Amino acid sequence: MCPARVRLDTDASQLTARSHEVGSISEVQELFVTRGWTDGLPITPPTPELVNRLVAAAGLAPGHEVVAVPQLSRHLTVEMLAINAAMAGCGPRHFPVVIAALRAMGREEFNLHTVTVSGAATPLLVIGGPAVRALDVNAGFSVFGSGHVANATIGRAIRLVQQNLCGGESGVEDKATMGHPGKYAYCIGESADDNPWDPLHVDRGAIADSGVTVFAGEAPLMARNDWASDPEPILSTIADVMRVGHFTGGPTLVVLGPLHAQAAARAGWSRRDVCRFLHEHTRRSMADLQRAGRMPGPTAPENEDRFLNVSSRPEDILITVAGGHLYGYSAIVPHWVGGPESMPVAEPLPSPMPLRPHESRR
Amino acid sequence: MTVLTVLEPVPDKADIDVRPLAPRGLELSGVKLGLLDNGKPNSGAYLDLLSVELAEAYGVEVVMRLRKPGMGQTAPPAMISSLATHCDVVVTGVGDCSGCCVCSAHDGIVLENAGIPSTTVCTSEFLDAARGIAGTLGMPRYPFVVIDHPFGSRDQDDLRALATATRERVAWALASADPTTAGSAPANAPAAVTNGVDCAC
Repeated sequence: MCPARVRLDTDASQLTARSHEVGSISEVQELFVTRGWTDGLPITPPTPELVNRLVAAAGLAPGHEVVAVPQLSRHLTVEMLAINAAMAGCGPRHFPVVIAALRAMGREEFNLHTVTVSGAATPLLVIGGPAVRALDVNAGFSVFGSGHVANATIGRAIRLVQQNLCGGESGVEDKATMGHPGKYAYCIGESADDNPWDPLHVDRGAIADSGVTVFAGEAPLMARNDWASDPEPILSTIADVMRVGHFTGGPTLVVLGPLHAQAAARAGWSRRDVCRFLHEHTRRSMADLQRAGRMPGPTAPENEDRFLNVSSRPEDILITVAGGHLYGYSAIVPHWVGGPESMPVAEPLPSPMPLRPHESRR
Repeated sequence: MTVLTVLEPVPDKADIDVRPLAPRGLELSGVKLGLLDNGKPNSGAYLDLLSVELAEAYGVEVVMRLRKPGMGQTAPPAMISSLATHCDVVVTGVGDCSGCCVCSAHDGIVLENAGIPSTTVCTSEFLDAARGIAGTLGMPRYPFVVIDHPFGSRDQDDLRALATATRERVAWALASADPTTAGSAPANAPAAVTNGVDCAC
């Protein structure tokens, strides 16, 4: 039995969400699990006080619409996002990143609803610029791993918003065959120290010191080349891993490890040079794809000379730099199966609040 | 004793206005039919076969066939406007995944709101998602025609048989004055027409 009583008003300011009065932390967990509002992990109770702190950090009215989900005729407000971010453990310093990421995800070309409910992708957030250090976003060792508050809570907030507000409840509307381990959290920092080029968000058109890029990506694939120091063999390794993608012509995100990025920088390669090389080396003939059963129909002779690229255009290959600097690894984040029906979007971030003395870094 | 007040993280569904379907009760003979293909594999082929069946059996006139630019997107307003201008009834589909099913149902319900009777063909596995969006959009009695899942891997013979098998259900969903009242439907018609309450499939 759910122990809570529903109350339609809140004591707090202008918040309009329905509220529940509960007797203990464990009753909060029971309520949220029973209602299907969590990702399976305990949540931070979204009290009006906590939600108000996040709303204040956003500098927007609680009823301000951040993103629309037209497929559901739904308009997501700062308050709705703040409740889910609070549940995820987001602090006031992290919440503006959640707002910016959702603003990006709300752009038509990202196709938020469909990538939420179908396929094996989930939005990857790449945070770049001074915000990475200021918010203590991990951009180094085990960059896709756990253990970092900013990566974990910002990523989890996005997931809870998708689940609770965008139709992404597992097994109900989201009937993906395999899902994605990043559906708990999928958020990394870009390493400013190791990236020889512009930040990714700047390259994608968000001209600001700090920004966040959202990309509907499948789980990262590893490309290891510890033995080469020139860009060609390293990028050939990366291209070889990319060639398992869906060949539906969507974008691809490549996270160059620091050693691989240094090899490209030493040789004087620009980001465009890297993109062009990867594009040229990630095509397969339609006949080859048919022989592998990855395209329907019998192999037609003329298809030996017809080629498809993993990503249709060089500029659809996104390059960022992150990870530890001890081994020669890069990660490839393949695109959602719908290909160009979801394109990456970058959004500027406001200058982050400085760390307070008690908010120590790891 | 209350120790904590917590807020709900989901939308408040209490204030959804329930709207009626577009008026039905048509004779289908001479009615102008539009097709809105979502681009999923086999959808266009099935809708074409279905439209031939509807023309032969009921005398509908197929006047418009549009394919959406993206299967996971709702139809652009210009497409909806064209269909509403030139068609008396519209069939959308085929919804065989969550994203495309919700979008095709959304398109059909937008057309209903514009006064055009429609139905969305979806597979059994996505009827829940279809019902969900119909409820969210305030049209819980929107009629779906439900076919077996999977759909995209069927061959041409299967599609032809499917078009024949669904012809009467589609006609019922488009023309019946109350397509959601199974009891008054022809015996072989209503089985897969759902009103969001039950489905025999």
